[in-house]
Amino acid sequence: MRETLKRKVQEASSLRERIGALEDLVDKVEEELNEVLGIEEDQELEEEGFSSDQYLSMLTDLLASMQEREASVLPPPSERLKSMESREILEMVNPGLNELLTLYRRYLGEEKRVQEICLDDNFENLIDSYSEKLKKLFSQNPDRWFPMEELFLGGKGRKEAIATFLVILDLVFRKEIVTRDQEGKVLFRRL
Amino acid sequence: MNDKSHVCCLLEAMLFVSPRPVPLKELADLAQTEEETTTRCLEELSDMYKRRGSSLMIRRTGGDWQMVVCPDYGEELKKHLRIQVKKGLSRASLETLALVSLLQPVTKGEIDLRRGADSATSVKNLLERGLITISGHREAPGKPFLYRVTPKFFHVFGIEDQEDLERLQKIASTPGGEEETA
Repeated sequence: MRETLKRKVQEASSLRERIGALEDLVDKVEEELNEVLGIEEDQELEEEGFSSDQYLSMLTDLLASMQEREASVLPPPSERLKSMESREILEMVNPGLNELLTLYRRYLGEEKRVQEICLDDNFENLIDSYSEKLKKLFSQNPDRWFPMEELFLGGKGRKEAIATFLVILDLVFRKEIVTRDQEGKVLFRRL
Repeated sequence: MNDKSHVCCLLEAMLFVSPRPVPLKELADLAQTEEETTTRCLEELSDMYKRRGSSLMIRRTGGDWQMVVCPDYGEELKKHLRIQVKKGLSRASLETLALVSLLQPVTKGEIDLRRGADSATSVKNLLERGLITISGHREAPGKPFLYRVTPKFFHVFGIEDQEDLERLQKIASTPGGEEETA
Protein backbone atom coordinates (compact mmCIF):
# COMPACT_ATOMS: atom_id res chain seq x y z
CA MET A 1 0.00 0.00 0.00
CA ARG A 2 2.77 2.46 0.96
CA GLU A 3 4.70 1.56 -2.20
CA THR A 4 1.65 2.33 -4.32
CA LEU A 5 1.28 5.71 -2.61
CA LYS A 6 5.00 6.48 -3.11
CA ARG A 7 4.63 5.71 -6.79
CA LYS A 8 1.62 8.01 -6.93
CA VAL A 9 3.72 10.83 -5.48
CA GLN A 10 6.43 10.29 -8.09
CA GLU A 11 3.96 10.08 -10.94
CA ALA A 12 1.91 13.15 -9.96
CA SER A 13 1.91 15.68 -12.80
CA SER A 14 0.89 18.82 -10.92
CA LEU A 15 1.90 20.31 -7.59
CA ARG A 16 -1.63 20.01 -6.21
CA GLU A 17 -1.79 16.34 -7.22
CA ARG A 18 1.60 15.71 -5.63
CA ILE A 19 0.55 17.42 -2.37
CA GLY A 20 -2.60 15.31 -2.32
CA ALA A 21 -0.63 12.12 -2.83
CA LEU A 22 1.91 13.17 -0.19
CA GLU A 23 -0.92 13.81 2.30
CA ASP A 24 -2.29 10.35 1.60
CA LEU A 25 1.14 8.89 2.20
CA VAL A 26 1.58 10.84 5.45
CA ASP A 27 -1.86 9.74 6.61
CA LYS A 28 -0.99 6.14 5.90
CA VAL A 29 2.32 6.39 7.77
CA GLU A 30 0.57 8.13 10.70
CA GLU A 31 -2.08 5.44 10.74
CA GLU A 32 0.54 2.72 10.88
CA LEU A 33 2.46 4.62 13.57
CA ASN A 34 -0.68 5.04 15.64
CA GLU A 35 -1.29 1.34 15.47
CA VAL A 36 2.22 0.40 16.46
CA LEU A 37 3.26 3.26 18.80
CA GLY A 38 0.12 4.81 20.22
CA ILE A 39 1.32 6.73 23.28
CA GLU A 40 4.86 7.20 21.93
CA GLU A 41 3.43 9.61 19.37
CA ASP A 42 2.44 12.05 22.12
CA GLN A 43 5.86 11.70 23.75
CA GLU A 44 7.46 12.72 20.49
CA LEU A 45 5.33 15.86 20.41
CA GLU A 46 6.51 16.80 23.88
CA GLU A 47 10.13 16.66 22.75
CA GLU A 48 9.47 18.98 19.82
CA GLY A 49 7.87 21.84 21.73
CA PHE A 50 4.82 22.16 23.90
CA SER A 51 3.35 18.95 25.21
CA SER A 52 -0.13 18.19 23.95
CA ASP A 53 -1.37 18.92 27.49
CA GLN A 54 0.23 22.39 27.50
CA TYR A 55 -1.03 23.01 24.01
CA LEU A 56 -4.58 22.11 24.98
CA SER A 57 -4.36 24.10 28.19
CA MET A 58 -3.27 27.23 26.32
CA LEU A 59 -6.02 26.99 23.78
CA THR A 60 -8.56 26.39 26.54
CA ASP A 61 -7.26 29.47 28.41
CA LEU A 62 -7.56 31.43 25.20
CA LEU A 63 -11.17 30.35 24.67
CA ALA A 64 -11.94 31.11 28.33
CA SER A 65 -10.58 34.66 28.01
CA MET A 66 -12.47 35.17 24.74
CA GLN A 67 -15.63 33.84 26.40
CA GLU A 68 -15.19 36.34 29.23
CA ARG A 69 -14.58 39.18 26.79
CA GLU A 70 -17.58 38.24 24.66
CA ALA A 71 -19.84 38.26 27.74
CA SER A 72 -19.25 42.04 27.83
CA VAL A 73 -19.83 42.60 24.11
CA LEU A 74 -23.44 43.70 23.86
CA PRO A 75 -25.29 43.22 20.58
CA PRO A 76 -28.26 45.44 19.67
CA PRO A 77 -31.33 44.25 21.60
CA SER A 78 -33.70 42.09 19.59
CA GLU A 79 -36.56 44.31 20.81
CA ARG A 80 -35.26 47.14 18.63
CA LEU A 81 -36.19 45.48 15.37
CA LYS A 82 -39.45 44.11 16.80
CA SER A 83 -40.55 47.54 18.04
CA MET A 84 -39.81 49.05 14.64
CA GLU A 85 -41.88 46.38 12.93
CA SER A 86 -44.81 46.68 15.32
CA ARG A 87 -44.75 50.49 15.11
CA GLU A 88 -45.19 50.31 11.37
CA ILE A 89 -48.09 47.89 11.73
CA LEU A 90 -49.84 50.13 14.26
CA GLU A 91 -49.53 53.12 11.99
CA MET A 92 -50.96 51.29 9.01
CA VAL A 93 -53.78 49.35 10.65
CA ASN A 94 -55.63 52.17 12.33
CA PRO A 95 -55.04 55.38 10.44
CA GLY A 96 -57.17 58.31 11.48
CA LEU A 97 -58.58 60.90 9.14
CA ASN A 98 -55.59 63.19 9.66
CA GLU A 99 -53.16 60.39 8.77
CA LEU A 100 -55.18 59.64 5.66
CA LEU A 101 -55.12 63.30 4.71
CA THR A 102 -51.35 63.39 5.21
CA LEU A 103 -51.01 60.33 2.99
CA TYR A 104 -53.16 62.01 0.37
CA ARG A 105 -51.06 65.17 0.57
CA ARG A 106 -47.94 63.12 0.05
CA TYR A 107 -49.63 61.38 -2.84
CA LEU A 108 -50.42 64.71 -4.46
CA GLY A 109 -47.13 66.32 -3.47
CA GLU A 110 -48.99 69.62 -3.16
CA GLU A 111 -49.24 70.10 0.56
CA LYS A 112 -50.12 73.79 0.55
CA ARG A 113 -53.11 73.54 -1.73
CA VAL A 114 -54.67 70.54 0.02
CA GLN A 115 -54.14 72.05 3.45
CA GLU A 116 -56.61 74.73 2.46
CA ILE A 117 -59.38 72.14 2.63
CA CYS A 118 -60.93 72.24 6.09
CA LEU A 119 -62.72 69.42 7.77
CA ASP A 120 -66.17 71.00 7.96
CA ASP A 121 -69.51 69.32 8.56
CA ASN A 122 -70.17 69.21 4.88
CA PHE A 123 -66.95 67.34 4.20
CA GLU A 124 -67.56 64.84 7.00
CA ASN A 125 -71.06 64.20 5.68
CA LEU A 126 -69.59 63.68 2.26
CA ILE A 127 -67.19 61.04 3.65
CA ASP A 128 -70.01 59.25 5.50
CA SER A 129 -72.22 59.26 2.47
CA TYR A 130 -69.49 57.94 0.10
CA SER A 131 -68.46 55.35 2.65
CA GLU A 132 -71.99 53.94 2.74
CA LYS A 133 -72.35 54.06 -1.03
CA LEU A 134 -69.05 52.34 -1.72
CA LYS A 135 -69.64 49.65 0.89
CA LYS A 136 -73.00 48.96 -0.68
CA LEU A 137 -71.47 48.85 -4.14
CA PHE A 138 -68.84 46.31 -3.08
CA SER A 139 -71.29 44.15 -1.13
CA GLN A 140 -73.67 43.99 -4.10
CA ASN A 141 -70.82 42.98 -6.42
CA PRO A 142 -68.56 40.84 -4.25
CA ASP A 143 -66.63 39.24 -7.12
CA ARG A 144 -66.23 42.22 -9.39
CA TRP A 145 -62.98 44.15 -9.73
CA PHE A 146 -63.81 47.87 -9.99
CA PRO A 147 -61.47 50.25 -11.79
CA MET A 148 -60.64 53.23 -9.57
CA GLU A 149 -62.43 55.78 -11.76
CA GLU A 150 -65.75 53.93 -11.35
CA LEU A 151 -65.58 54.53 -7.60
CA PHE A 152 -65.53 58.31 -7.89
CA LEU A 153 -69.31 58.64 -7.69
CA GLY A 154 -69.67 62.25 -6.72
CA GLY A 155 -68.24 63.99 -9.74
CA LYS A 156 -64.86 65.58 -10.15
CA GLY A 157 -64.99 68.39 -7.60
CA ARG A 158 -61.95 68.66 -5.33
CA LYS A 159 -63.82 67.89 -2.11
CA GLU A 160 -65.70 64.98 -3.67
CA ALA A 161 -62.52 63.48 -5.12
CA ILE A 162 -60.68 63.76 -1.81
CA ALA A 163 -63.61 62.30 0.13
CA THR A 164 -63.84 59.34 -2.24
CA PHE A 165 -60.11 58.79 -2.12
CA LEU A 166 -60.13 58.81 1.68
CA VAL A 167 -62.99 56.33 1.82
CA ILE A 168 -61.14 53.99 -0.56
CA LEU A 169 -57.98 54.24 1.53
CA ASP A 170 -59.99 53.63 4.69
CA LEU A 171 -61.60 50.48 3.21
CA VAL A 172 -58.21 49.18 2.05
CA PHE A 173 -56.59 49.78 5.44
CA ARG A 174 -59.49 48.09 7.19
CA LYS A 175 -59.09 45.17 4.80
CA GLU A 176 -62.66 45.41 3.59
CA ILE A 177 -61.47 45.69 0.02
CA VAL A 178 -58.31 44.60 -1.77
CA THR A 179 -56.45 46.27 -4.56
CA ARG A 180 -54.39 45.03 -7.47
CA ASP A 181 -52.71 46.42 -10.50
CA GLN A 182 -53.73 45.26 -13.96
CA GLU A 183 -51.84 46.68 -16.90
CA GLY A 184 -51.35 49.97 -15.11
CA LYS A 185 -54.98 50.17 -13.95
CA VAL A 186 -55.72 50.08 -10.24
CA LEU A 187 -58.61 47.71 -9.43
CA PHE A 188 -60.54 47.14 -6.21
CA ARG A 189 -62.67 44.22 -4.99
CA ARG A 190 -64.42 43.23 -1.78
CA LEU A 191 -62.24 41.00 0.43
CA MET B 1 -23.84 62.51 -0.55
CA ASN B 2 -21.88 60.35 -3.01
CA ASP B 3 -22.70 56.72 -3.77
CA LYS B 4 -20.02 55.31 -1.49
CA SER B 5 -21.09 57.43 1.49
CA HIS B 6 -24.66 56.39 0.86
CA VAL B 7 -23.70 52.69 0.80
CA CYS B 8 -21.66 53.07 4.01
CA CYS B 9 -24.56 54.83 5.76
CA LEU B 10 -27.03 52.21 4.56
CA LEU B 11 -24.84 49.37 5.82
CA GLU B 12 -24.33 51.18 9.13
CA ALA B 13 -28.11 51.59 9.49
CA MET B 14 -28.70 47.91 8.73
CA LEU B 15 -26.15 46.81 11.32
CA PHE B 16 -27.68 49.23 13.83
CA VAL B 17 -31.13 47.64 13.63
CA SER B 18 -30.07 44.01 13.27
CA PRO B 19 -29.90 42.06 16.54
CA ARG B 20 -27.94 39.27 14.85
CA PRO B 21 -24.75 39.22 12.76
CA VAL B 22 -25.73 39.92 9.14
CA PRO B 23 -24.32 37.78 6.30
CA LEU B 24 -22.21 39.68 3.79
CA LYS B 25 -24.48 38.60 0.94
CA GLU B 26 -27.51 40.15 2.62
CA LEU B 27 -25.62 43.41 3.11
CA ALA B 28 -24.43 43.39 -0.50
CA ASP B 29 -28.02 42.79 -1.67
CA LEU B 30 -29.24 45.68 0.45
CA ALA B 31 -26.59 48.06 -0.85
CA GLN B 32 -26.87 46.67 -4.37
CA THR B 33 -23.10 46.45 -4.64
CA GLU B 34 -20.56 43.68 -5.20
CA GLU B 35 -19.55 41.76 -2.08
CA GLU B 36 -16.01 43.05 -2.49
CA THR B 37 -17.18 46.69 -2.47
CA THR B 38 -19.48 45.97 0.45
CA THR B 39 -16.58 44.46 2.42
CA ARG B 40 -14.44 47.53 1.71
CA CYS B 41 -17.21 49.85 2.96
CA LEU B 42 -17.67 47.73 6.10
CA GLU B 43 -13.94 47.74 6.80
CA GLU B 44 -13.86 51.52 6.40
CA LEU B 45 -16.81 51.87 8.75
CA SER B 46 -15.10 49.59 11.25
CA ASP B 47 -11.88 51.65 11.04
CA MET B 48 -13.84 54.88 11.44
CA TYR B 49 -15.43 53.61 14.67
CA LYS B 50 -11.99 52.54 15.96
CA ARG B 51 -10.35 55.86 15.05
CA ARG B 52 -12.88 57.93 16.92
CA GLY B 53 -12.69 55.66 19.98
CA SER B 54 -16.38 54.88 19.79
CA SER B 55 -18.17 52.82 22.41
CA LEU B 56 -19.56 50.83 19.50
CA MET B 57 -17.66 48.64 17.11
CA ILE B 58 -18.38 47.05 13.77
CA ARG B 59 -16.82 43.65 13.44
CA ARG B 60 -16.86 40.41 11.51
CA THR B 61 -17.67 37.14 13.24
CA GLY B 62 -17.94 33.82 11.45
CA GLY B 63 -17.92 35.71 8.16
CA ASP B 64 -20.99 37.82 9.14
CA TRP B 65 -20.99 41.46 10.25
CA GLN B 66 -22.45 43.08 13.35
CA MET B 67 -22.46 46.29 15.36
CA VAL B 68 -21.90 45.78 19.07
CA VAL B 69 -21.05 47.68 22.23
CA CYS B 70 -17.30 47.38 22.98
CA PRO B 71 -16.49 45.10 25.93
CA ASP B 72 -15.21 47.95 28.15
CA TYR B 73 -18.47 49.87 27.90
CA GLY B 74 -20.50 46.66 27.77
CA GLU B 75 -19.12 45.67 31.16
CA GLU B 76 -20.30 48.95 32.72
CA LEU B 77 -23.67 48.78 30.98
CA LYS B 78 -24.21 45.21 32.09
CA LYS B 79 -23.88 46.30 35.72
CA HIS B 80 -26.09 49.35 35.30
CA LEU B 81 -28.82 47.61 33.30
CA ARG B 82 -28.49 44.39 35.30
CA ILE B 83 -28.13 42.36 32.16
CA GLN B 84 -27.94 38.65 32.90
CA VAL B 85 -25.40 36.83 30.77
CA LYS B 86 -25.89 33.12 30.22
CA LYS B 87 -23.47 31.12 32.34
CA GLY B 88 -20.22 30.48 30.51
CA LEU B 89 -18.86 27.07 29.60
CA SER B 90 -17.11 24.92 32.19
CA ARG B 91 -13.40 24.26 31.91
CA ALA B 92 -14.14 20.71 30.71
CA SER B 93 -16.46 21.98 27.97
CA LEU B 94 -13.95 24.64 26.93
CA GLU B 95 -11.24 21.98 26.71
CA THR B 96 -13.50 19.80 24.60
CA LEU B 97 -14.40 22.73 22.39
CA ALA B 98 -10.73 23.66 21.99
CA LEU B 99 -9.99 20.12 20.85
CA VAL B 100 -12.89 20.06 18.40
CA SER B 101 -11.77 23.38 16.90
CA LEU B 102 -8.22 22.11 16.69
CA LEU B 103 -8.75 18.60 15.38
CA GLN B 104 -12.07 18.81 13.55
CA PRO B 105 -13.60 16.60 12.32
CA VAL B 106 -12.92 14.56 15.43
CA THR B 107 -14.58 11.70 17.32
CA LYS B 108 -15.48 11.69 21.01
CA GLY B 109 -13.00 8.84 21.51
CA GLU B 110 -10.18 10.98 20.13
CA ILE B 111 -11.21 13.86 22.41
CA ASP B 112 -11.34 11.54 25.43
CA LEU B 113 -7.89 10.25 24.60
CA ARG B 114 -6.41 13.75 24.42
CA ARG B 115 -8.14 14.94 27.57
CA GLY B 116 -7.59 11.74 29.50
CA ALA B 117 -11.19 11.94 30.66
CA ASP B 118 -14.67 11.12 29.49
CA SER B 119 -16.15 14.02 27.48
CA ALA B 120 -19.71 12.74 27.10
CA THR B 121 -21.29 15.51 29.22
CA SER B 122 -19.21 18.23 27.58
CA VAL B 123 -20.01 17.02 24.07
CA LYS B 124 -23.72 16.86 24.96
CA ASN B 125 -23.59 20.37 26.44
CA LEU B 126 -21.77 21.78 23.40
CA LEU B 127 -24.24 20.09 21.05
CA GLU B 128 -27.17 21.53 23.05
CA ARG B 129 -25.66 25.01 22.88
CA GLY B 130 -25.18 24.63 19.14
CA LEU B 131 -21.44 25.24 19.34
CA ILE B 132 -20.51 21.90 17.76
CA THR B 133 -22.36 19.66 15.36
CA ILE B 134 -22.16 16.12 14.03
CA SER B 135 -20.57 16.24 10.61
CA GLY B 136 -20.57 12.53 9.72
CA HIS B 137 -18.99 9.40 11.12
CA ARG B 138 -15.55 7.85 11.00
CA GLU B 139 -15.19 4.73 8.86
CA ALA B 140 -13.99 2.71 11.82
CA PRO B 141 -15.46 0.00 14.05
CA GLY B 142 -18.61 1.33 15.71
CA LYS B 143 -18.73 4.16 13.15
CA PRO B 144 -18.26 6.91 15.78
CA PHE B 145 -19.69 10.37 15.11
CA LEU B 146 -17.39 13.10 13.88
CA TYR B 147 -17.78 16.56 15.44
CA ARG B 148 -16.90 20.01 14.18
CA VAL B 149 -17.56 23.58 15.30
CA THR B 150 -20.60 25.50 14.00
CA PRO B 151 -20.91 29.10 12.73
CA LYS B 152 -22.35 29.90 16.18
CA PHE B 153 -18.98 29.02 17.70
CA PHE B 154 -17.41 31.83 15.67
CA HIS B 155 -20.14 34.28 16.74
CA VAL B 156 -20.06 33.35 20.42
CA PHE B 157 -16.28 33.68 20.69
CA GLY B 158 -16.01 36.65 18.33
CA ILE B 159 -13.77 34.78 15.92
CA GLU B 160 -13.73 36.23 12.40
CA ASP B 161 -13.56 33.02 10.37
CA GLN B 162 -11.71 29.75 9.90
CA GLU B 163 -8.55 31.60 8.89
CA ASP B 164 -8.69 33.53 12.16
CA LEU B 165 -9.06 30.27 14.05
CA GLU B 166 -6.03 28.84 12.30
CA ARG B 167 -4.04 31.94 13.26
CA LEU B 168 -5.12 31.48 16.87
CA GLN B 169 -4.09 27.86 16.75
CA LYS B 170 -0.66 28.91 15.47
CA ILE B 171 -0.31 31.49 18.26
CA ALA B 172 -1.17 28.83 20.81
CA SER B 173 1.35 26.41 19.31
CA THR B 174 4.19 28.97 19.17
CA PRO B 175 6.63 28.87 22.11
CA GLY B 176 6.00 32.01 24.15
CA GLY B 177 2.60 32.44 22.54
CA GLU B 178 0.88 32.15 25.88
CA GLU B 179 1.72 35.75 26.80
CA GLU B 180 0.31 37.09 23.57
CA THR B 181 -3.00 35.34 24.08
CA ALA B 182 -3.45 35.99 27.77
